[in-house]
Amino acid sequence: MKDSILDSMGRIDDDLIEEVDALRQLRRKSRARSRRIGWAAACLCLIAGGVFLWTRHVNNGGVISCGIGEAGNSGIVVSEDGVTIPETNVSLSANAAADMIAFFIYQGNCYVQYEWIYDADLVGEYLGTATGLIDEWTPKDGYVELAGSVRGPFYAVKGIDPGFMLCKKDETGAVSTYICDNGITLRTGSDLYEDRLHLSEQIAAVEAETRDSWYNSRNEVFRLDAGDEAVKAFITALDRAEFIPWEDVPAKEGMTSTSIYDTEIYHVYFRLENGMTVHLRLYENGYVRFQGLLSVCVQLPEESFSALIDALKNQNGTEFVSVPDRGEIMLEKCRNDPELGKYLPTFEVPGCSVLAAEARYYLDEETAAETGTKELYLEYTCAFNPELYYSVTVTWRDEYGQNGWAGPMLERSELSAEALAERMGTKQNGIVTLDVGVWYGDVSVVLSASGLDAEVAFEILNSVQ
Amino acid sequence: MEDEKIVALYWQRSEDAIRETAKKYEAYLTKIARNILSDPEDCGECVNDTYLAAWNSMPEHRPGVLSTYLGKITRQISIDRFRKRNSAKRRGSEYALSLDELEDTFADGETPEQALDAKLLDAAIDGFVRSLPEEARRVFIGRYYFFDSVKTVAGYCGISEAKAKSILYRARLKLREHLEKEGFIL
Repeated sequence: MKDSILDSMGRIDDDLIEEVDALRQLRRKSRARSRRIGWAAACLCLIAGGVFLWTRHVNNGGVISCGIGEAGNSGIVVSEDGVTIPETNVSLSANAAADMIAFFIYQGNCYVQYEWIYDADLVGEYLGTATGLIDEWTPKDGYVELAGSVRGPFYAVKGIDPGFMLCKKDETGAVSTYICDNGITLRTGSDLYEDRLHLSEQIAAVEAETRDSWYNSRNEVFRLDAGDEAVKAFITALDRAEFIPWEDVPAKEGMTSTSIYDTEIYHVYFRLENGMTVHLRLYENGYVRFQGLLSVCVQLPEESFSALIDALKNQNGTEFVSVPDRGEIMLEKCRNDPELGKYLPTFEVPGCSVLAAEARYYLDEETAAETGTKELYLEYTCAFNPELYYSVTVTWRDEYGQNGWAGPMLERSELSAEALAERMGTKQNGIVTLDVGVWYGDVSVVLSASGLDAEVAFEILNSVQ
Repeated sequence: MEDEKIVALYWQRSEDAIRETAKKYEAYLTKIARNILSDPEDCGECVNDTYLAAWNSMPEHRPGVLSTYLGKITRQISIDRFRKRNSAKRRGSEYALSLDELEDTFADGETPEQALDAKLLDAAIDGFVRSLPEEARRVFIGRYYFFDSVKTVAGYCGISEAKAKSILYRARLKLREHLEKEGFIL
């Protein structure tokens, strides 16, 4: 029978296969995004690799194109009014390196993901629901209103022009912002940093790290005094400087144009009071790019640029800012969850630690407000034994057979080491496995483990209060 | 070269069709074969057999997505070859591991009734896969169509390996339930 099942699997409809194959190819090329790092980091990797993205639209009988391309081919128009990021007719291509951009189309414009924000009150009016449906194999006629590489409701961002930025919220409560540069004209820095991002009026903190730290994900982020004269002068110069296409930045003498990336020296993060971050990339000779609009840049006068660089050099290495560990924040959220937190086992296997934690919520589509806890998930690994790991999933009875557990369940009264031992399996390499759930009233607590004996599994499940 | 042009070459009976297919899809097809067969030589032969099968089937077929079309051929040819191999040569592939996983849920062997109902089984499996939630569907197809390792599937689905195993376990149980409801004797 098992052979017949796998034979029949080979005859499932092509659309089912293509959906997963697209995902396989996409992940293979990028080898990036897991749920723990997010799209933004993935974009940074692409950019570091010499590819930058631009988004445009062309509304051609309802068909819209969002483009991604190599540097030097952006088509930006320079005029007395500034730089205009034009509408072009380029679609996501299977041949492009940047094949994992999160974006959707709204009112004929492409919105591309900029950053993930946690615990911020940014979500404004509900504007629509993205349908997903686009990947790099989608034909051009698939680029229609509300389509994109992401799905779900999207919203205005409080205090920001929806023509420039929108946001989405995922089940874990994280907000992702999306930027649209379609057809915008920027003359000076203030057109972007003040008119659209409201930088000066909202600075809560200024942080920075070297290019080396950023590139190698060392998170050696240090803080500057936001009131420092060098910071103030830098922002003033930033607002006054004129935009130019990034592709027009002359290469360093004796270097090829692609090596312009080697002239990057610092990343500066203006943390805003609303939770957003204005992420700037600083290059030699005073060039500055905004992470959300990488096809254009400004060049600052040497004096104001050097003053900030000196301040950065003086601070670098003295005191690093503790970057909030997303995993720890999530773990606390799980443990303190008012609905399901009390069902988390209190017993942890000695020597094991939490590798990942995730709380998922029910969201109101109109407001994105969390209306209840859907699921808590903790995953443990053990340093002393790499073969030993386990996860605990806590969810409601109503979720049984949905996204939640649909395997064997025990009533709490049936829980015993013997009952668990009966449900244990053995992998080919001889390691024991266990996948079982226990009902605690309307809540199921599911243990999925490898390398754990029945006694210890019992101790875990029996420690639910 | 674009798929449409490659397919056109097959229809023109141009030998460039095979050259262009190999250029574009050899690595892709070899990966599918390697998940089923552990022997590299076998994999190479299966991929070559795929080109021959494609040559013999176009015309009359004109596939929309060439990678899927070729991948299905490679998958079946590789499974057929797997079944002809002796037990020593069967060990170690992801296909062999997938069979082991199904062992717990489905008895080995095939009853005459089921043999008669192969088309019904195809329909039941297709319906079952479609009924799965998106995440579970991806994991299930990744594991039991492409025979990617659980770790690989977890990687491209953006979930932990433990969660992927858990999803697969649930899915196998649901599949058993589904097939029983559809009248299959398990």
